[in-house]
Amino acid sequence: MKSSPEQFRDSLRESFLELLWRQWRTLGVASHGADAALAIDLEALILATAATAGQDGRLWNATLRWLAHFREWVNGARLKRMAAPFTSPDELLKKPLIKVDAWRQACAVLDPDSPTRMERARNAKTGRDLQPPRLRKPPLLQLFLRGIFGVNARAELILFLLAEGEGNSNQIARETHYDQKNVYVLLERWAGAGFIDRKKRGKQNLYSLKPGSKAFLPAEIGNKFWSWEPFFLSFGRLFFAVHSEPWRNDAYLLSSLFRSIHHDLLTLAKAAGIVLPDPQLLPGEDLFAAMAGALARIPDSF
Amino acid sequence: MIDEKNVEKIFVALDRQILAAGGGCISLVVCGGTALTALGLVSRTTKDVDVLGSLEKGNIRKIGRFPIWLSEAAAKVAADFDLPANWLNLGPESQLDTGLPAGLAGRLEKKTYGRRLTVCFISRIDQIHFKLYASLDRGGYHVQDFFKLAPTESELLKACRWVLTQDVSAGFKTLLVSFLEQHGHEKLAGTI
Repeated sequence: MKSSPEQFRDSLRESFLELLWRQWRTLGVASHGADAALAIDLEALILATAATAGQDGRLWNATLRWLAHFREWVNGARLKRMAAPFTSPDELLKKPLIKVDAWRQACAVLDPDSPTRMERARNAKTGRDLQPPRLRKPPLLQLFLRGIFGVNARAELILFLLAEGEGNSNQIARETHYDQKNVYVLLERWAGAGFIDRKKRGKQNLYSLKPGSKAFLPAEIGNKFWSWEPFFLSFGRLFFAVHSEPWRNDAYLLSSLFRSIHHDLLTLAKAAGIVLPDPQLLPGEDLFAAMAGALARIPDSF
Repeated sequence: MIDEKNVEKIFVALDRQILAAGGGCISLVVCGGTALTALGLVSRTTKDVDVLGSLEKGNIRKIGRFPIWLSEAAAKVAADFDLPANWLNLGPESQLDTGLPAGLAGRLEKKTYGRRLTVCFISRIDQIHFKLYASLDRGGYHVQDFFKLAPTESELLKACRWVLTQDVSAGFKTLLVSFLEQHGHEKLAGTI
């Protein structure tokens, strides 16, 4: 069990950065190691990687190169909507999780009219260190769906329905980071076309995929977990804290942060099959050692 | 609950949270059960920290309302140590309007808990003043605290003189005399 803030920083850094590398590797960035096992959310991954830019320059440079070459796969509007909690001062940590410079770099490389991006695109060549994403890889289901439906809300609506089974338009819009009206219109059209089922429960319409509608998917994939934004927000906060004053070497402040986001962490730990301690039983910094060891292992399970 | 085992931890935690919240330096003047516990005058538990005001350039000033960063920091500490939401409160602040024992500010016992927080606990003699007043006004555990402070006759006399400035009614004086007689200070009661 990890018992000091320094040890926690080292193990969290290792496991979280490896998770990000694993996902970028799956998208075509060359590095040694296994591919991701779960479906990737590209916009959430960009934000998480930007949040770690100061701690892993090699990964951030590889990300910028990937974005310069394959930006057509990125949904810029969704990225901006999803970015708010990462680029505004965090309510718990008082500073943005993504440093202004890193966010500017990401925006510049994604801006199709930006000279910086044009220059990068001209100068950068894909090579052995960067391959185009192979859409039939199961974890790239989002990109596969974007390949079919275009870079719009449709891919995430299907991902949501695959993972959750059913949902109403409000819930789906919230979790996919799209406008509720657009989501509602799309779902209604799909229901009208017979692509999805719609049933009334109380005052709300619940939408679900029709049996057999998964036939077009490239392969079976563990898609029960795909909602990466809450994961990356929670771990982005932890990652920021362990690298920033006054939290970095303070077991009490880290414990307090664990307690503040315990509810969110509990959901992630449950998905990873890891049991977290009850914070009610461990006042003050007594929570630190019990939580730190468990938290650093969570990214390894994804 | 706050007791002699965790009082230090709680104030250190508050200091850390003030720093994390981006707050400034503050010197809180604290009375009540926490001050008794922190100075080792009386060993008992309490659920809150009674703040009289802030110490600025040697004077105790009214705070009125805690700055946002202090409220945020206190809320975090409440969650971390299972304390009530208003564990850090300005309950006794009105005492600044009715008057403090002369020279109280000069007798404060300061403890620094980190880079942001200094707590100035009121001294034993001032506790005797406040606890005598609270014993007469509210009774209950204040009476126990008062006698645990074991005031001498001269300390008690000073405290009696001060409490009579807080309530000048004849009824209150009668109450004080009766309290002194009831607790074996008949001679002193006769001089009031």
